[in-house]
Amino acid sequence: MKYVDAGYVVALSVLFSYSVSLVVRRRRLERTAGRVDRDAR
Amino acid sequence: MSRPAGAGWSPRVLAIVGAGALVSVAATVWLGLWVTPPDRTQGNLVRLVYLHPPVAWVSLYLAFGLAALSSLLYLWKRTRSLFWDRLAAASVEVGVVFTALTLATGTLWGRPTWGVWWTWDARLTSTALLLVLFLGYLALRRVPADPEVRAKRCAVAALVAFVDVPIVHFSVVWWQTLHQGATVLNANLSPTIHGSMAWTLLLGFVAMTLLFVWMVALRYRIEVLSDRVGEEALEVTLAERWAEDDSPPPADAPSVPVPSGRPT
Repeated sequence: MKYVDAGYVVALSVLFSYSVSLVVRRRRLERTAGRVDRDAR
Repeated sequence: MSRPAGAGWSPRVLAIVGAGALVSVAATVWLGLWVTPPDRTQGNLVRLVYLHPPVAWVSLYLAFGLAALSSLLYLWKRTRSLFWDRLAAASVEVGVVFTALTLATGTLWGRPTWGVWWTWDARLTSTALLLVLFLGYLALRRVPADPEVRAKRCAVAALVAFVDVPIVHFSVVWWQTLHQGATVLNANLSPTIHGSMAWTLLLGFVAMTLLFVWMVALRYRIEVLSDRVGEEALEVTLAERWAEDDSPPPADAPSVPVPSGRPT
């Protein structure tokens, strides 16, 4: 089972990490866009 | 509340798709690891079938298929829009993650089955080449250029890279390979898997598809925001520069000829 477990751990960890990175990147950019909008005005 | 054009899906739809992906992935893992029976030939190793083919399905057909279609629609003058370019970019990035996972889960299945971590088998080699080609696409996107120029060159690159997708698909038919033939999308379209194993595999496909849709929607939004931030930051910087140019020079400034007119 160790190869099966490793496969699931690797896949789920990568998918989870990438999902979190997407959410963080979007939030950061939304904040930056808001700041740039205010500066432009 | 109104939302800016090109912002992508509403947060509510995104949350529903994300929740659906989370639940279906959790159900696939539970069924795949604890409920379905071991295989007569492969034993417990067969449990990787609920993970590896669904991940490969997303990378090969959904992600790079969508990227190629979007690129084609961008290149076609009647449908040309930066929407297609951004969609292709989002799809390729997600596809690269799924392709890397396809290779990782494949190698973890290959080691106990074939006795090696890697072999220069046609399916494995063409998949690795696919990963390299689309990494090249992502590198090309980072080359500074006018958005229209970048979109056009990336669309061409995506279509060139997509040529490898049918090669990956048919590699197990065209060449003698260690990799087994298709379990579901075979020539007769008759799946060689049945019962709870088939249902769990189907759920795995649904789960990974939902996850892909959620990730692409989120990544598309990031693409829109980074373009907007880049453009607005450039405008603010230029406005500041012009304001500096208009102000009188300091008394000790050297006499340097100033170009007339502002850059367009």
